[in-house]
Amino acid sequence: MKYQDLLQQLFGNEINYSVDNNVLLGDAAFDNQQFSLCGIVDAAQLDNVMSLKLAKFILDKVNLDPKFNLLIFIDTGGQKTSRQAELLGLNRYFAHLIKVIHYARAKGARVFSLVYGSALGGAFIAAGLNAEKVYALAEAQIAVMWLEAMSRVTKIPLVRLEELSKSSAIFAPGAENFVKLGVIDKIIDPAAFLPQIISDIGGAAPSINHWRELADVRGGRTLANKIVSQVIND
Amino acid sequence: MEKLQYNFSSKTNKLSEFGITAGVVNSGNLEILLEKHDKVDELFIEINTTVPGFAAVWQAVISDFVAKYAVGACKFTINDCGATPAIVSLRLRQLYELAASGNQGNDYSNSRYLELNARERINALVDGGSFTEIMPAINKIVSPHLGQLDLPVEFDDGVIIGTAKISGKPVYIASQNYAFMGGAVGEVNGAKLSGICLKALKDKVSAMIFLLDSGGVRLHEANAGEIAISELIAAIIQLKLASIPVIGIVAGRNGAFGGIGIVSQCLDAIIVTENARTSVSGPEVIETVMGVAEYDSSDRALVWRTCGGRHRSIMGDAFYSSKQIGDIRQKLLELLDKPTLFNEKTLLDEYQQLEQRLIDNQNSRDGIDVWAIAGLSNPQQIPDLSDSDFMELLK
Repeated sequence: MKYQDLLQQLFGNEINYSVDNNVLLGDAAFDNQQFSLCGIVDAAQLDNVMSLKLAKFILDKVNLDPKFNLLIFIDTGGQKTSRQAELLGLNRYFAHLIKVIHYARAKGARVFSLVYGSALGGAFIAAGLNAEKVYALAEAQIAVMWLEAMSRVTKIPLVRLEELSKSSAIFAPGAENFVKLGVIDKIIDPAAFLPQIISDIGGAAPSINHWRELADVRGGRTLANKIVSQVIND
Repeated sequence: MEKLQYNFSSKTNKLSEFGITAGVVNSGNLEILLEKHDKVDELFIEINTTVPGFAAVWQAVISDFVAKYAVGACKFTINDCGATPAIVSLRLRQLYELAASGNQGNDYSNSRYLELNARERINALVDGGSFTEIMPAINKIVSPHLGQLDLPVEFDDGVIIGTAKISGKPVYIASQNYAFMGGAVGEVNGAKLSGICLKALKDKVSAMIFLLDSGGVRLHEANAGEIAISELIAAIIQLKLASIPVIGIVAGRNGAFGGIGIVSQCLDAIIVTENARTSVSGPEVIETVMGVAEYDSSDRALVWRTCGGRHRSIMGDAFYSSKQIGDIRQKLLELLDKPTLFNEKTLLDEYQQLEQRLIDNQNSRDGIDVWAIAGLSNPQQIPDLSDSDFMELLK
């Protein structure tokens, strides 16, 4: 879905945003709640400049009033694959953004992300996966790596991977797999998204074990939750 | 995968140490775990191998070992990844000698960090005899996903975690095993990493230490690995918010790439050596996607100028140490003594530093350009300097 259509559908005229260098920044209102918006558009690869811009937007909001609502809209083709991006320390830029999002949450911000396009690789780790809850539209494309590339790297025949991916959520692309693994709370219609967020904001933020517990209930990751509790209580 | 089992009658009991392992699950190698056996008069050996059809050779090698060493009643479990008979014999002998000697600690003071395995690195850095492993190999908590792909498992799933002391202070520590699946993170391995962080938070220890050595997400369980890395980051942030220092060391063979490259920069500090490399996408990935003109991953000098330990320390993303274990430990002690801060001011300072870096380096295409802008004289000579000359230059 194009971000213009999505935002129009979500907020109608109650929105003010800009898009520059594939970074979306703005403010909007719904049902008497104010929302700060940020995100990545047009399946852009997340680079140093973009990460910094997102981080600064959030830092400024924290400085203004740490109790704010933040929606992170995700449509990214992954991390910028370029030598110069890495030369200047792309991992530090990603980590900075991650720290800023988590810091905002610790200071009382309510942070949610919505995958409305693609969410690939390291860019998902840098942005969307740091929200307290992650939602996805049905058309979302979520993957660490496409199966063809995975087959080339692991030298496991593609047919074998395709067959296994029918029964296992653990490696194959697809938003449904990330639901089973506990990280996507639910696949949601645009019309239901903001009412869901309003309801989430009405309750407490989930615990640090939220994804693992969901994964356990949904059967996508059966060991993660048990291992973490076992180690903590050792 | 093929499973083979052998038992021998044996009434002696010559071994004093159990639950220990030798070797690693890596192409042409194998891991052996020694356990007590529930039968007092039997030596039991179980082999899980990726290379079926060699039962006769296994029978010969195992029988030879049993005859030569008269091992006694116990149980060996082998995870084999195509080791030759000579390697199998060597690993069996190593484990036997370790078990018979009571697994006395080694003196690592003259060792090179790079050459030690994940467990040895911990023992070399912490106070002698202070390391207690949590969820060790004997618990056999392995990846449930690798077997589905006919791949061998390792009993610790490629990461060692536990409690230890450094200069008497209680610390928790995790060490990635670079040799098993490139140290990459999967469901089990990642849960162990998150678990030890959350335990450190609960027990309010003096510090959490990561010995990172990983290519990032384990592709065979890619989704679970990616999620585990995000869960690990969330746990690390909780430690930072609780003012528990989180220190990493990147000085191994695989460096820190992909999600683990990102994790490394979420820590309070990392120590790197000359051989260290860290970034998000590795050189090979960028070359594959963008072409050799963008990044020639076979040009080792270029790779190190782009993501090597010296480059990262000049930019201020890491602290530099020589490769000697004693120097790495000394640097670790210095960092543990420094208070760590994580607040709005430190984030704003970091923002300004990172913004300035982009402004200063708009035209930088090579590490040498970055080093010149950082004000270092004779930047083209930096890769050739000795460690001590380089550290002098950094001051």
